[in-house]
Amino acid sequence: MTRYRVTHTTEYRYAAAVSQCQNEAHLLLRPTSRQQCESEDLQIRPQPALRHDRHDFFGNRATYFAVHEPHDVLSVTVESRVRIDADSPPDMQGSPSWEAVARVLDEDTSPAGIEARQFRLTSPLIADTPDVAAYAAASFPAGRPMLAAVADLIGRIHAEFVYDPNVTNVSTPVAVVMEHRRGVCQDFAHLAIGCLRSRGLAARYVSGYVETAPAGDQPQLTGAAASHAWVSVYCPELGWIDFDPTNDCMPTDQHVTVAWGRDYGDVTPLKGVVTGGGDHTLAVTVNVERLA
Amino acid sequence: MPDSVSATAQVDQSRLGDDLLAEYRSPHGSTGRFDETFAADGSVRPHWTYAMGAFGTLGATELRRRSTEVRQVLRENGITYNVYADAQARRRPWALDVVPMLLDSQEWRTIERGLIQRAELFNLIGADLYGPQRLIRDGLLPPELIYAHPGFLRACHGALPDDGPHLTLYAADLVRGPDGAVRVLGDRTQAPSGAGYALENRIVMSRVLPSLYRDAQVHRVALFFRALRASLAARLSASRGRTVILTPGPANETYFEHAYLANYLDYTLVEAGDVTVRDGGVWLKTVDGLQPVGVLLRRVDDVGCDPLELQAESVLGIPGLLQAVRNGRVAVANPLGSGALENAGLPAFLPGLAKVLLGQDLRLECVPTWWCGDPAARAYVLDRLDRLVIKPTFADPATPAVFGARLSQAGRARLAEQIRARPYAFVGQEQVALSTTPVFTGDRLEPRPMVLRSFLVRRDDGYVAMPGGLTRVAAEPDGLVVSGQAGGLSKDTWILASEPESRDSLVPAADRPVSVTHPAHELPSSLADNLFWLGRYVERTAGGARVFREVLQRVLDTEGPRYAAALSAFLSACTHRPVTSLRFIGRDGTRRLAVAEQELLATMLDADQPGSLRFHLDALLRTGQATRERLSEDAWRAVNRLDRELTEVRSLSGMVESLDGLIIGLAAINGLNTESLVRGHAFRFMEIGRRLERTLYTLTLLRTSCELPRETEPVVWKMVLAMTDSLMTYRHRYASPVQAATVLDLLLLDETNPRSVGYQLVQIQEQVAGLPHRSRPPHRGPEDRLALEMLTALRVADLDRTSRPDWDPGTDETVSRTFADLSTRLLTLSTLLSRDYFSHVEVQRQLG
Repeated sequence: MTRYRVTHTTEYRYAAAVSQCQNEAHLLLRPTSRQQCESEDLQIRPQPALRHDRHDFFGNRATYFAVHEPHDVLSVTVESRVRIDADSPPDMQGSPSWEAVARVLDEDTSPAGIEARQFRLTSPLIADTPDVAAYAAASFPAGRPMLAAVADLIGRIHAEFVYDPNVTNVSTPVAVVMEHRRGVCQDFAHLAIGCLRSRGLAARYVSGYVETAPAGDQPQLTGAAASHAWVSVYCPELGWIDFDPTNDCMPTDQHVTVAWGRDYGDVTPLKGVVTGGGDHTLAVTVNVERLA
Repeated sequence: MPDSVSATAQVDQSRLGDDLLAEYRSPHGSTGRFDETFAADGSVRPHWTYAMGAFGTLGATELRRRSTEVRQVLRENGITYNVYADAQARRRPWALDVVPMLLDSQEWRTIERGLIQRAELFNLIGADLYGPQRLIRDGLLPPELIYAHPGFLRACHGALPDDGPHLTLYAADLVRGPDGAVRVLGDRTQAPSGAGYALENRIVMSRVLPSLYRDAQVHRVALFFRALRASLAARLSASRGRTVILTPGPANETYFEHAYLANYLDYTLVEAGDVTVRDGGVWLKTVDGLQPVGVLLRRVDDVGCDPLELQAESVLGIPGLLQAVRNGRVAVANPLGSGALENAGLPAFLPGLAKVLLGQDLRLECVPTWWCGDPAARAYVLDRLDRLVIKPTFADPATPAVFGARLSQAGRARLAEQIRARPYAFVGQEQVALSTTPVFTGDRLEPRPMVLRSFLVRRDDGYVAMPGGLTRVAAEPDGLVVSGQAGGLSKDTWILASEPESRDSLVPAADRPVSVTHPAHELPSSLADNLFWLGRYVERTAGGARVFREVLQRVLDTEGPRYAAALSAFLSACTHRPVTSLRFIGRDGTRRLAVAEQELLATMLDADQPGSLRFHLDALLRTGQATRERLSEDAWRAVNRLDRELTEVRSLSGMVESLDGLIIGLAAINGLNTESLVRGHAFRFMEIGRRLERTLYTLTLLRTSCELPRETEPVVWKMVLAMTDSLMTYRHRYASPVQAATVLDLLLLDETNPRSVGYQLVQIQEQVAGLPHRSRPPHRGPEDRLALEMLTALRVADLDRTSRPDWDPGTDETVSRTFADLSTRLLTLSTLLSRDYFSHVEVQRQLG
């Protein structure tokens, strides 16, 4: 069992006053099979006139808030204490072949199967392009156990793509990432999802955090300074299994899950529409601190 | 000519044959299509007998005349349909055939029952998809069919109100195949368009063929709109706000209809910028402040409706709308997300769903459709690619329907590849040879393929269908596609009553108490803005026209060189003055003046040159469109008529004539507005715009003339008098020859002269003082203060010396400063009005 205190601050500074803004946040942690949120505190400055929490279509926790007073700075801080119990790792070689999984999904009418089938389809930020499918093919020879194939794909993305925060932004299409072979966690997650879907598998986008300053023999992970993202893939017998292409690993107890969806667009940590304001600067800080 | 058809009930076959039926000689034996009017043996179907007899009696000549009348009425009423692809002729007049489409009431009853059942079915499917999703969980609908639809909006899941129907409106496109059966070709569930056009078609037809319409006993369509009003009113009970129609704006293809329905149903027409979400509810921004909105009848597509949660790039939507819906503060009809039901794959599942959801058999069949997401259906479709129509499951303008028969071998192979890659995204549909109906082509009746759009609205006791609808016919006799965008023609649709029916219209009936104290018709900020600009553009166009007319008359009436110099100096000075809109001749205009007639004409008529007359006129027409709902019918006609001015001008003298017409047309608008608009805020903003623009115009003329060399003076001042329509007044008033001092007296100071600056400033001050107050009396708002300052400044200006004989306007700094100060303050007034009353233009942006 591991416990963390996660602090995530987003701050927009505007050149001119914003007269009002409305926002939607995916910042509150969802409970999962391996994580439980012990406490949380969402602070918004200026004080919103209205705040409304709900569960979205995917079961994530979404927060709407509106600020009606003029402001130069919008600051949103969420502090959560979370407990994580690592799952035991699945048997990679013992999983069914990827083709068998894809075939089962074709007609899976179990509740979990029906839910998973929507994650095989293209989504607004992840188009099905031939070059993504071609890239995926090398990891999916006939008959390979599904999880082994996924691990191979994740490994290739990690080895063949450079982590570079300066070439992409939140709306960069996968095709551009393919072309430059560079990107950040979000791009690698989108690429991996595109590859998995091209093989008929169900894959979803997971938004979350990784531990900032691991102690002792724990590895230092990339992507700790900001929100992180990885992928989850569905195997009918095992459920959803997470893979982190940015760090070439399977998340155990160093990853904190916030939300999941088809792609980044479903779980954007904070988005909004402001009236007025002119140019703005954005500062994001994330701290994931292991508690004793 | 009186309508002389009522006596003739018998078809005069011989005459009909000679005049009108050349195309029907060998009717449909060759085409294999069903004809609505003629049976296979060539005889007229019973329910058409009466009308065909009437048309035969009227004959081609009279039908031509009635067709012309149809076009005239449509044009007079400004009925248009915008065509996206065609930038030049974007506003295309609506095309209506003089021959209606007829259905007998017995057949209609069957169709109607089918439509009602189908609407109910779609209502239940929609409520399930955005609610419990039992249909997917129970395996009645495959998840891919729903989840792959870009119109299935996950953000809207769970956002439906607990009470109330899912679909308020539903429309279906109906076709009849060679077997005579009527089937559904497609469904419209998010913001069905066409009902307003159907109503307008009916009004036009009842005017153009009054006695045929009366005697044929046609079911009336007004009931449908009453049901719509009642349905929306029922949604309002909880929230008590007003009902508005949300339009994408004048560029939208069916904008005419949005404005028309707003008017007919007595709802406020709004664009996204007119409304805002605050404190969890939706508010209309009016010049009196924010007013609550309870129901939003939308004509904006689902994804465009909320840039916060749906499509971020949309500028047509209202940020936060979806949350306001979740809060139960506003009802949206049809609800956001209902576009998911416009799904070409759904028909394959409807028979099963009708059994489960309604316990009934599906009454109205669809055109046979196979959804390729199903393996067996896919195999069937791939096998028959050469015979089927292949459509995207989820309508997408980028992927039009493909007629397999028209593809090459290679094309079919490519298509098959696409289908195999994403089977759920395609359907195969049987190609229907659409039934034909007669269209009057100018000298005869010609069979054309048709589609009928039917409209249904939800009443508390279920759906009601409009007894009628919008029939559209293909542009070509053997056209495969029928669409407004492709240049088709529409028809009124008559359901012939077997028994007489009571008249029905939106005139307040017992269920809608008449309110004598009219609830203040609030003025949306953007409408106030448009009215202000309509006032300005009318005046700006009139001013430009007067300047041009004067110049042209001088050009045509060639006089000495001294004269030409004066003209040239004047135009050049006007054109290059910074604070003016009279940039009518461009940089080298004076030189071009001397050159070629055609070139001069082109300069005036160039719609792309800012400042040209055509440019101003187009701007006027645009603001006229946008303010249509507030203009009187005659005022609107006067605006609409201007569209015809400045066209087909081929010579300078022709131009002078055209300018005369234009000036009188513009005066008609001003006159009608003055006579017909109640003195509320709408009038006030238009009047301020008009007066403000006229002041700027007159100031420009006066300033320019004062600065010209003295030797040009008398001619120039005379021109200025003509350009302000004040020559006669001057002659009556002053015995002296035209000179600066007296012209200034008349056009600047004389507050009794409706053309003078002083008069305008009095009017402006009066109207501005009547604007809704933002500050408490006795404090004056900034606009009010400024208007009073301007008027006072003019009144106290020391201009006595202008009457001295040695006074030189060109060197008098007090005069030029007065002109300059006034112009600057007028523009400040415009800016203040815009800030305080039209502030909807405040920029909204996305935060990523």
